[in-house]
Amino acid sequence: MIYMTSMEEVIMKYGYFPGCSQTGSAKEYDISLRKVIEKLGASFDEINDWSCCGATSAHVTNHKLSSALAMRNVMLAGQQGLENMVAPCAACYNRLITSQYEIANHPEIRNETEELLSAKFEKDIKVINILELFLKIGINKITENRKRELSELKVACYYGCLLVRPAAITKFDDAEQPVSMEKIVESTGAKTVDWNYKVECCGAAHSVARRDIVVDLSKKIIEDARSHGANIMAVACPMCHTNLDMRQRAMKRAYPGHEEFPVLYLTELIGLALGMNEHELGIDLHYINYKYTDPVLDNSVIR
Amino acid sequence: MDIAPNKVVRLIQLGFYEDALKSDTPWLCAGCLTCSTRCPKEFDLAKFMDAVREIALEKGVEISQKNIIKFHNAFLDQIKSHGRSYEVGLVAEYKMKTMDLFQDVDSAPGMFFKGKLGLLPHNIKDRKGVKSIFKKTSGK
Amino acid sequence: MCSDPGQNMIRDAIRDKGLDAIVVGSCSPHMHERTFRNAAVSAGINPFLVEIANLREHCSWVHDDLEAATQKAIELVRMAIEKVKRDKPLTKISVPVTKRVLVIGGGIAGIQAALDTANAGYEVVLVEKEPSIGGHMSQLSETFPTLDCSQCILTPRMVEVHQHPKIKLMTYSEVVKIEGFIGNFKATIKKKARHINEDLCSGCGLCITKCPTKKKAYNSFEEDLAFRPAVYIPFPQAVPNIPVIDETICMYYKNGKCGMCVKVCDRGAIDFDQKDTMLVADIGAIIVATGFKLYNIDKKSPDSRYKGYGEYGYGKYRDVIDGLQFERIASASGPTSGEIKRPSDGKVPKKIVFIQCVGSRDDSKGISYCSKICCMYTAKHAMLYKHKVHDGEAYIFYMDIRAGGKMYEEFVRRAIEEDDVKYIRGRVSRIYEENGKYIVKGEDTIAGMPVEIDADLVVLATAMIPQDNSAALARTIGIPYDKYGFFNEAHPKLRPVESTTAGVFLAGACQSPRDIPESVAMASAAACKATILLSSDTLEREPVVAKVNEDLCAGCFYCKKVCPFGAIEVKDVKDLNGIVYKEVAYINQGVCQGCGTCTATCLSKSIELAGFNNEEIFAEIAAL
Repeated sequence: MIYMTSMEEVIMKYGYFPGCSQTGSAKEYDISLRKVIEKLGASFDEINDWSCCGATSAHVTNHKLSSALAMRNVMLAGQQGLENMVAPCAACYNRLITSQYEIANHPEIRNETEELLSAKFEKDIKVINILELFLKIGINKITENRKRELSELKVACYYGCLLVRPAAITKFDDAEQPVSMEKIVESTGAKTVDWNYKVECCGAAHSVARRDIVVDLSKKIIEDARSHGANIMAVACPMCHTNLDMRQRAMKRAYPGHEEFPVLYLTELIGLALGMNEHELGIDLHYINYKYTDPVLDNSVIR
Repeated sequence: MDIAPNKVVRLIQLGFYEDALKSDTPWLCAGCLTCSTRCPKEFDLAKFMDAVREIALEKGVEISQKNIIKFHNAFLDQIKSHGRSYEVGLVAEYKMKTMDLFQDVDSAPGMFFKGKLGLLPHNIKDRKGVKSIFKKTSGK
Repeated sequence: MCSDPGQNMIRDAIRDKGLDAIVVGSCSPHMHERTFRNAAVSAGINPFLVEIANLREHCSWVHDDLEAATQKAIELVRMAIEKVKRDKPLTKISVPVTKRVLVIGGGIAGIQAALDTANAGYEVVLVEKEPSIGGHMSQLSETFPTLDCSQCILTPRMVEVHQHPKIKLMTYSEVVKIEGFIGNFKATIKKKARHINEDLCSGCGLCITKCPTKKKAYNSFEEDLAFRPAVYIPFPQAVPNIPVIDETICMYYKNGKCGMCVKVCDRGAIDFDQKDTMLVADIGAIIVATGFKLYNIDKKSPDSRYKGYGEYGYGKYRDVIDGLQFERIASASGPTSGEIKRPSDGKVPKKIVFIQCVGSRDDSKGISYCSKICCMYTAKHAMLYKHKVHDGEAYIFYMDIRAGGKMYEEFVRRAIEEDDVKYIRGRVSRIYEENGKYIVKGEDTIAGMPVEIDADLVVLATAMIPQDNSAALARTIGIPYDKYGFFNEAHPKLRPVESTTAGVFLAGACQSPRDIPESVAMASAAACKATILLSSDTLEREPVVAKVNEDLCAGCFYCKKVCPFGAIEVKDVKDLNGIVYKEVAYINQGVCQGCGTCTATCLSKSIELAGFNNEEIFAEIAAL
């Protein structure tokens, strides 16, 4: 599989669909993403008046609503003259491409949705996830612009469910043993660990109504990362981040003696490597406090 | 989970629709898509669960996992009013619906304190358009 | 009409009314053309003056509108009448038969086919691509359902092949070209350079023991569980017992130095300069017995046709192995001398999980069919394990147990009841490593709950798939193959060992997954079919072949381009002084299959297909 796009294909301007979480509980994801992108020389064109993709709640209760809410944003991107749109939230990404897939493969859903939105879907808008974005920009750019090497970090790259599944729709990386996030993380100078839970589910939208389930699943993910030598986890989804970071508070109650484990957005990790500090990247907004400490430089020379 | 996911499929195959629709299994399915990815018969179980849930709601079947349904309704209500999810509104409405006033009190103040939860919703301009989608698809 | 009284009606009508041609309105000519032609012949009419209007498949079976269908039937008969008026009597073409059989593939099917054919008194050329014959059967430890030693029953057959005066054994060779037609094939066989003079080598093996490149390459016979040097024989019982030098790792080919083998060989048999040679053989019939390969996607190399099993860590964990690897581990002659040890650290596994239907019956990975043998060999594996590791536990995840065959079901019951193998009905979702154990997560659908087993070793019963080059070989020989690359039989029930190409027969797992007894039965059947063909000195062929009118032919050779059988050649036309003044197409009557493609393509209308010439076809159309 080839992940690097060739030189002539490098696009530096992208349509941007932030997603609701990025305006609230995942604010820092949005902040860090925008800053990192700017440092790497790319820019975003935010979709005007974008709305919620429908998220889990729409697709588990009403398929027409789900399709229309997602496609409304694809439609807006087209009207704005965009060729592509970045959806940094894995759940938004999945809703958008799944709706596109269903519209492309089921004429009845297409007609239904077009009618609901009083629009025709003619333009093919490529929805890009956060990993694809960095691979398109070029991971060499991260290495080139690196202000420090995060060599102390042993990162467990967590993909969760919605970046890689279903493989027939995402058509991106291996659904069972994905490697693209590792490549991106390694470009920051950090090490990655080989671990077992990178595509397991954290409990997703059950975070509020069935927190008990989420706490159990997320605990397993954190402990697997820890036992494989990781000292930090990278994620690419606000929902996963909530469950893996904020739910550690509940985890401490359910599992007395639980040791805190830092969970960063992939973009924050890249931001650290590009020389930004925790406050700039919004890392101080996390539940688990985290500060990257550079290894102590020993200037003495052995002669 | 009252019955295994494959049993939900089996009940539907054999025509025991009521038993399948009242199961709480579809509601506990988080939609992680692992089953759909690994099924040797390429059966899209996750999508199947979507359909079972939607039909159960349509038919007004009583489900034991009430909070999960209340959460989804609260979530969709935010989108209907604002066009985007509004987390403070969501939590407030969910708490009103479930009368569980104490869950999540541990995380919400922290988030307020850190300035993550805005007190005001992000209203989109075309709220009318979004509302009409809701009206056309769910009749309310 | 096809019954005896019906045929008699035809005969009587011919005699009573003095008919000179007949039209039969009946079922497809595929079914009874021969019956009616014979009836006509017995009443003194040339068989090619019989036309059949297909009123069943083309009419009654496919239409609901009875009125219109009857009208169509009348039209079909009218067309046949117009054609038969113009039909010319034809006589069958007679061609000689070469009394030699080419067997491609030296596994158990090829070995059996070669022996049966040779014992019937015909010459055999047996071509095997590997350095030794024996195939997959030589890799097996014991065989189900009798648990007899595979090599012990196979080796005598291998030796018999080698010593048989009627069999010319060509190992480390490949068929590169097949020309000609039934009874008259010409096979071009590439004999790859062994770099050992076969006539001089005594098989002492001194070159192998002295070769300094001890562990340079994976030993493919041991399924990569062991190493081999640059000069090697695949396994001790190899036939012929002559080594091969692997140029890719031999020091001599790298830097021109070493030559240790030359120094130790007192027969002077090492020949670094040996080149590949081509050999052409006249052949009367071909038996294809190229076998299968085991699905090992991602383990060895990716394959765009199939998806791998990342969720099982197949290709990632050394202790997640396939069935053939387990055979080697269980073999007394294998890398562990028959002790069950796992590849990563050589520990004896106390808990093994076997998983059936890995690849097979898995549409999401690209293989819909059942590989047929895995249920049986997995039961055997578990049994062998329990016999060797008494305190060990064996679990088998299965979707169904398919044990159809003599003593097969009893064998599986024995594994369950006597050897206490635990069968779990359900599939495994994931496998991952945790502190040297392999966590196998699956579902027990009978208990209706998830199960988790911490195994020391996992054995995947991966699918049987065609050999990598099967499609290319099929094109070389000119036989059809299915979407997977298995060769197609002429009829799934009535002609199971014949290909649709006359004179080419199939044996063993190259046609579909087969176990040993079935492969052997097929091989004997194919040998029998081939010897029936060779038993007559000449062959009669249908005279429905194309012919070129040389005066009209413009020499454009479009026909040569479109002929699917390669039957068209370039012929020089000379004047009285012997000087070539034009080139025309010439159709080899032996190769032509009468498909008519050339006739339709020909711009100058100079090609006529006997029995279906333009005049006849146009008359049919005009009658519509």
